[in-house]
Amino acid sequence: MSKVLNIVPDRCTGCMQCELACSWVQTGTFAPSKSVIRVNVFDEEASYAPYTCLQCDEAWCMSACPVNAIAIDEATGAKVVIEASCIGCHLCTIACPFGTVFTTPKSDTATKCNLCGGDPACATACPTDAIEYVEADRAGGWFEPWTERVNSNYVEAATGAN
Amino acid sequence: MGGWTGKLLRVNLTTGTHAIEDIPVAWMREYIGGRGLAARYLYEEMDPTADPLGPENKLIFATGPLTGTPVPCGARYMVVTKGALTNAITTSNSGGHWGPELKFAGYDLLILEGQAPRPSYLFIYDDRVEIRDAAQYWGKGVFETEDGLREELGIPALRVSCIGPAGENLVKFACIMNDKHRAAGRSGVGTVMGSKNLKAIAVRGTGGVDIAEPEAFMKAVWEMRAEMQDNPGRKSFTELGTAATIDLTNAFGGLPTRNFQQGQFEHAEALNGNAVKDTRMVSNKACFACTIACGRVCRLGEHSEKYMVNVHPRNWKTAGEGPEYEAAWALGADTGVGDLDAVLKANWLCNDLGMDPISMGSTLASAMELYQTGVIGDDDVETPLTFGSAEALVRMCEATAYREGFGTELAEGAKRMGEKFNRPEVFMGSKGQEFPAYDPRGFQGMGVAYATCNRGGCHLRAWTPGPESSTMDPHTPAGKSEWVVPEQNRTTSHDNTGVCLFVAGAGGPMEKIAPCVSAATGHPYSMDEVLKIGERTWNIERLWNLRAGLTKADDSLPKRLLKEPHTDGPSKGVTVNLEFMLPIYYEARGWDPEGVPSPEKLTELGLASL
Amino acid sequence: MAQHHVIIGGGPAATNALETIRIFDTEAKITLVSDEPAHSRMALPYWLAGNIPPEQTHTGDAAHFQKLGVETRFGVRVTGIEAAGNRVTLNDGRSLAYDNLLIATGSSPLAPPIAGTDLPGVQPMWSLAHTQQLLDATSGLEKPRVVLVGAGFIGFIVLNAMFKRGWDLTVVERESQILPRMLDNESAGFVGNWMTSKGVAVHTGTTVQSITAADDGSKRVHLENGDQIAADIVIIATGIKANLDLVAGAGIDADAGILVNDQMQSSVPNIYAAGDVAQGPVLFSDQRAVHAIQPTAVDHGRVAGANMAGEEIHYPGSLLMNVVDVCGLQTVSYGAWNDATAEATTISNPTNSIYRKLLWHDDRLVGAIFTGQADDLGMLTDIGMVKGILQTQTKLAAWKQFLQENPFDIRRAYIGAGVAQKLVETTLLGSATRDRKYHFRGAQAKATMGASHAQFVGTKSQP
Repeated sequence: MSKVLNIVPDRCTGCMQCELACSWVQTGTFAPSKSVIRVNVFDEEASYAPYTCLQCDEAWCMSACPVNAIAIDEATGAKVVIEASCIGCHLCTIACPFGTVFTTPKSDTATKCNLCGGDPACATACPTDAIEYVEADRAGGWFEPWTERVNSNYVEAATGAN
Repeated sequence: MGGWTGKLLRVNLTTGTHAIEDIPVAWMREYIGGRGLAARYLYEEMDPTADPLGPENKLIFATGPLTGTPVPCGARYMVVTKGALTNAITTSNSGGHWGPELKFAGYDLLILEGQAPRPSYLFIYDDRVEIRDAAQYWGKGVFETEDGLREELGIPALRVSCIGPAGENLVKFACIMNDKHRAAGRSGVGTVMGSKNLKAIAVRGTGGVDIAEPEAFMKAVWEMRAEMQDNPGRKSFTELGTAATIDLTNAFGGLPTRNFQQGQFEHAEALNGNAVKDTRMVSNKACFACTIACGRVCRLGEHSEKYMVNVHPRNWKTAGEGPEYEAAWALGADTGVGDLDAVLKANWLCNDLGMDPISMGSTLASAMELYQTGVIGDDDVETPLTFGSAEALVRMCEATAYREGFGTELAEGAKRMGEKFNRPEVFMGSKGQEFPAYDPRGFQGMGVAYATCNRGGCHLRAWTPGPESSTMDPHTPAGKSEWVVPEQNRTTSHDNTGVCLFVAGAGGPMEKIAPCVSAATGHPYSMDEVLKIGERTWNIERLWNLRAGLTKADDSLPKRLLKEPHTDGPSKGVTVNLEFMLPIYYEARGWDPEGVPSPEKLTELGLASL
Repeated sequence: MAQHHVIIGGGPAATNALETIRIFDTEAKITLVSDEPAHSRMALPYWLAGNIPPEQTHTGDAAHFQKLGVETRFGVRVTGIEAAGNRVTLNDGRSLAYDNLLIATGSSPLAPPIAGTDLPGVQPMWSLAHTQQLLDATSGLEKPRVVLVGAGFIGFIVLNAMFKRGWDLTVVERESQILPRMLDNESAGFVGNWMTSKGVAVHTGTTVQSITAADDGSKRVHLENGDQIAADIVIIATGIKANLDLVAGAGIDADAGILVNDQMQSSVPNIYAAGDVAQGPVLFSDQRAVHAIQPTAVDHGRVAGANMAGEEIHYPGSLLMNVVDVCGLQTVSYGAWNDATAEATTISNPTNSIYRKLLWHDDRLVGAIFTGQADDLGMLTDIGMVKGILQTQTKLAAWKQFLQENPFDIRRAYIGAGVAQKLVETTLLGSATRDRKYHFRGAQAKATMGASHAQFVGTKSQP
């Protein structure tokens, strides 16, 4: 069992401290547009939650890479980009069905959550413990209740049902 | 250098041209940023006697060095311009995410000049700047405008500030709204934007904020956060929002009710922080970098269909955000309405239509007094303006924004409306701006704070109910001016940093913020220097107002506060002794008896050349 | 249990297959036969662009294969398959007996019937050799003039590489639009305009009639419309075909490629096929198709490898996906993007070259097209999420209308419709994907945190 980022949507207030932390760690500047953790702000459903790579079992990004530039960091289980190997082809970006692997023209290499080597800055930065770094078999257990909340609020609003 | 970007974007709406300029380093140091820096530019560049709704007025959006950083609540931007409501300099502050985005696009300041020949919006994507046609958004509400721009420009992460129909229709207290529910609310800054034919400013910034001394900076940030985490004020803001204050002010007889005719509201408990939290709140919500999250995302109750007007189907039960304390008071106690759903609905309308709920509620309360006293009758209004009428509240919010029927009168604000009906005493404000939710007969110090505020009636420059409810006698004028002067300086320098003022009451006073500013910018700011900067800013605003034609006579309060005490409650029998407090205030400021800064004071502040 | 697996080909399908066999079977003998070193074609344009050395296109070296216990026959070609005798013959005169055979021989560029394609300096750009040839031919030229004949997906990756080198570029496409097998007409128009604005000459709706040599050694490309274009190099990229030479006469059913079932088996049960040469299952379709793309090659290789090793793994089908960065404009299409019978939601913003098209059958998304500037992470999130919606075949119910009204708010529909939670438990092989171990120059997969991490995390006061 390794540690995963666990998200608790009900605690998130949408403050973006995690995006600030992530961008600082990556770029040495506070630039949320560079963050690989992205806060979902669903105002109409009154639901907020950060969202980043789950380090999923299938690792679509790792499989899609033509040059084996994404691999598993044995210390954390994170799928990490080996920058020296990455050619910037964007295949990982379009292969990831979670939308959590990025390639930007400025870097021309892929970028994704690497769990900060086991000390994730986003979890440190979160003022409400909406991001926890905890032991678990698998990340993503929060999706079901979160989906339930977003879906029921929307369907209720869209259909006028109570 | 960090904190600052060091750049400003200047856009001339008349000619459609723009330029990116360097900001003098000396000015950034002398003013920190935000409100002060913008005031410096306004002083330098604009004739204060110009028509606020003419092309000569400049509209400045200013971030501070901590805007866009993880300093708790480093979310703010200031709108500095000549207020449409007040004819004085105004400095209207907003949170959300738009201010940081402007910073990420690379600008500390955005200066808008002139007047667009047709409805337009400004699109800023880093160094790409375009003035674009806004015909399709003109007439639309704030929410629809923001969604529409995001779709038109195809940028999911776009941030939008804009005006609603109220700004277009030059309602004198129109706001500039950003992120749908956040407002640079007061003094008619949205009216100025409307007069410039500018519907919106859509921003996407992909740059970042640099920090001069990262390690020292983060240490200061963590220390401030730790302090705030355990602070009871912070906890109360998080749990109950700002509306928790209703209990305090009501207890002291300082919750103005029915246009300040009473100092306590019998339905206060229907509108307070607990009522909102327990019955209507779905989630609390933070602005950018905020560790408090006082925002309330609320839904209307089951019985509230009767207030469903002008509602997008998707939002049919969402009241949006709020009410925070001021809106709950202005739309509630001041109009005598104790129906939380009506208040929520009216607040939602103010947000979507782009109006200041304080001035809206207070102006409506003034009109209700005109109706109560028979100055206006049923022939003048489309719905009876009875104190306590939820229907009137909701309906008149719409009517005001669109200037329909009696809404045309309300749209002028309480001062102009009162004068028109020959009853100027119904206006409860100063310098043309309606007061917020503190009755100075309950909190004496608020009297001098209101009277002397450079932008007219305002609670954000020196919030006396704090000390007056704990360490000072709320009913004596003694010692109040001496407290108000340094507090005004302190809050002003706070506004210059780009950090929300609420942190000051939540464990994050300037003493905690100053080290963040120093480490971010690399310029060491002592507390003495910080307070001096606040004083410098206050004085430059004052000089600007004097040049605009304001005098000592404008540092005044309505007759009701000076002469008419409440007849019951904790503040029974008290009137505001401004006559006592104002000379002491002037003296403490180093101003002459007419309220003019002395040459010595100006020299001390480095303003002698102005 | 098979004792000997023979794998033909050195591309991603082949290497993924043998690595997957080894996950499940550490004993069996594996032999890899490939006339080229193990490498990924997808990476060649980045070598051409000067971003990477040629070795960085490789997907394994001698040590890697040795560690895996794979015997390699590089530089050797298979010349025939005797299916009945379970044996392949090699061009070095030897032969190999197999229990299971994987054909992963890939595809080759088509040679269009144009006079002059045999001239020096006229070539495809498909293999390691082609890349070296092109680099040699342009090495002395300051700003090589290149004409790209055929404006398809593969040609565009090459084109982007040459754009990065600052070459003088012209594209000729006989169809009325560029990228005809990746984009619809409108989005292709955006891309064309974008390219033109970046200085690339674009000719569509015209064919190359001939290529002639000028006295100075340069070429003249003669178009059907009478135009002549001077060029130093002409790259032929008019399409590809599966390498089926070995199949003829071996009793293996083939159409556009070798027909395989959802276990990557051909009509001969112990002969498997994967990658560009295979015509396999397609997501949300009964038809089988050749999807000559890297992700499909990897999927095929992994599924084939697992089944060859005795596992029973069924492939749900491949999802067509193409991504091209066209001179800074990100262009992506998925699935049935060209399905004329589908209902379409389109957002088009010519000013910003932003285009989104979502294609629907009932409340299911079946295809999508995106163009936009790729420096916006928000857009990249949306792209990935749309892939997730497609891949899971989620019935979107009320969220369909939401997406139609809010095509820039994919995230809400994605979460609301429960796509993520389905994906969390999905794996192709029934277990977590393993690291492929071979990394260029032995690089370690390790998150290395810089000073900024310590500045942020290390300064937090402990409660």
